[in-house]
Amino acid sequence: MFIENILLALNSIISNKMRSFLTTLGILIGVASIITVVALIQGIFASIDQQIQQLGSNIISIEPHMEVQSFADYMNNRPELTLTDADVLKRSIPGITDLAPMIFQTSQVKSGGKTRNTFIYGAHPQYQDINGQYVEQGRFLTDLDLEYHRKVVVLGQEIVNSMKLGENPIGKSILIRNVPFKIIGLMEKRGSFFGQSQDNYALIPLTSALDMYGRIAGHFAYIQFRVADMKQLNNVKQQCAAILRRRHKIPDNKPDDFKISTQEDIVESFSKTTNVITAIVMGIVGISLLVGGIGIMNIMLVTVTERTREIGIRKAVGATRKNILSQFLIEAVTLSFLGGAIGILLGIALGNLAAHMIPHFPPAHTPLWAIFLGFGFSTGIGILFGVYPAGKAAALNPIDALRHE
Amino acid sequence: MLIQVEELTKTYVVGTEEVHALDHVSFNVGEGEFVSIMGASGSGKSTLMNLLGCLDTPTEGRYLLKETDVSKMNDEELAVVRNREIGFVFQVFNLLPGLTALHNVEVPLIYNRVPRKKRLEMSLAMLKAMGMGERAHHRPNQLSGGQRQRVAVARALVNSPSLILADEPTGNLDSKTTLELMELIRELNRKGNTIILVTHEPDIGAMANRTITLKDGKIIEDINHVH
Ligand SMILES: Nc1ncnc2c1ncn2[C@@H]1O[C@H](COP(=O)(O)OP(=O)(O)OP(=O)(O)O)[C@@H](O)[C@H]1O
Ligand SMILES: [Mg+2]
Repeated sequence: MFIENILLALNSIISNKMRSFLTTLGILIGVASIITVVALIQGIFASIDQQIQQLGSNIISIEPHMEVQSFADYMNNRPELTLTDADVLKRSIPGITDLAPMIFQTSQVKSGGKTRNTFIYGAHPQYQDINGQYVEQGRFLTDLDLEYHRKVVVLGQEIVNSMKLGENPIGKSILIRNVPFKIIGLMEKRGSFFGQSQDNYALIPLTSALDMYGRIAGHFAYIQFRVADMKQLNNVKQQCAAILRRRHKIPDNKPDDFKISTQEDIVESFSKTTNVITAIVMGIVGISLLVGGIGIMNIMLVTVTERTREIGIRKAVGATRKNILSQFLIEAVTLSFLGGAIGILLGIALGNLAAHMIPHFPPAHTPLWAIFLGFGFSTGIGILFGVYPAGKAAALNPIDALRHE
Repeated sequence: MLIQVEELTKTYVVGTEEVHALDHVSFNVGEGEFVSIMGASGSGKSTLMNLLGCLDTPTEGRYLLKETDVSKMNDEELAVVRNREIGFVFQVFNLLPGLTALHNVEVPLIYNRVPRKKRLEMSLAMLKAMGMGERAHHRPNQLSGGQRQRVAVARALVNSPSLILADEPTGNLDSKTTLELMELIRELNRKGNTIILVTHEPDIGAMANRTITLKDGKIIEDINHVH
């Protein structure tokens, strides 16, 4: 009976091709947009996730952090991390290697009449290993650069290009906050994210940066280090917290004024954001699917009226209420399922196309769950909005249905 | 007795007026009989046929088919009776336009849960018996009136029902096709099928073994013919 009904449904759908298509168009568009959006978002997330994973999982970063009650509160008690904090951590905890404190600021750089805002990192020689990003031309910052507070800079490629520093900028100098810095190296390319170049930055010795920005820099400090033994990760985290709380004289009833995170934490909080964004998008698309469902109901109601005669004939030769109900329900579901299937294919195609067409966009990625969701949604909508017309058809009295003109 | 009808009544209420389409009608039909029902337009012939075919429910009275009281059955049970016990042939053919002759004949078998392969065999055999084997894959709009009615008869017979009801089956056919169809129906009766047939034409009515005449919802005559 089930198979008969599916064949019947297909027969009826095929004999009214144009109408069937228009009926299911709402579902088709709804599912296609879900799949497209999800594929694009998941593509972005996959590429971010990959970038995070590349850094390695035995790195801990610490940054100043507080639960902000109000702006005034924040300005009065701005949390900071200092170089001494970093030193103390390194000396007190044995498992720490490659410790690299860092500060970052945005500042103006000038060269040959051109100016530009850029990120200035006050960095440590360990920066390269911790971040997995290396110098490509020239050399990186050294311990001596830090010791002598040298005015030297390693540039991201975007600055070299936009400031027209030429083929070989090494040895030239640029002004950072009107202080001349000698260019000693060029970093390898990080690429771009969403068309936003990730190479607009300059690395200078941490000590020189502190000279330039003064104490305020401590509010924008970062301490990153590796833990030699992965198993000690949580242990080290706790020790850091205890030491910093003691050093910052935080009473027991107050929260930390810093945040310690591992790669895992970052990935986790990141995937939380992912899920929220996905849910919001799905909600919006859900509404469009609902509209598609109402379209199906509308046409199914018309269909039932148009086919009253057919229902009468079927009942006259022995169809029960249940037979008629399932025939029309299955027809609605088949219709929305087909719409969903085409929508999924279209969505995958559109997602890939969009990812190709938008410059610098990461490749689209359609997860399996989105496909199941697309099918589930369209089938569910078919059932939801097919039940009423099908029930109406089933409830018809045979003789009244037969007499219908 | 195949059919026992006692005081069967159907009253329609139109506005404030009551129409007694069928007014306390009683009669019996035995197995193998061929009964024609005659009467003026509006005398209640179709009303009676629809009640006998379980397409409609009476206002009053009892209808026993094979000693079972049909008037007490629910929707589901009536559907089963329509499917297994009754073959209905309509004046307007009532074939499904989207299906071929073969698939039209197949419909009652689907609701009787006959397996697909068997269904198609039975339907084709029945169409052949009606002389429609060649036209099995034609749709109703590719068939003449007489051919459509043969398909409809095949559909009525395919579940081997106890009772064949035909409400003016020749009403839309020309005289030649009418005679051919009547020959077919008589043949079915000779083979043992019980047939009740509504007609306006005395010639056709007289082909039956018995004629019941209705007037204003009542039986005014019930005679047997000797052929
Ligand atoms: N659904 C209905 N509502 C109200 N009155 C009806 C209905 N169906 C039939 N009638 C009335 O019942 C009476 C009998 O109708 P019926 O269709 O049984 O006549 P008939 O003998 O078949 O006539 P015909 O030879 O023209 O087909 C008529 O007066 C008709 O108007
Ligand atoms: Mg009539």
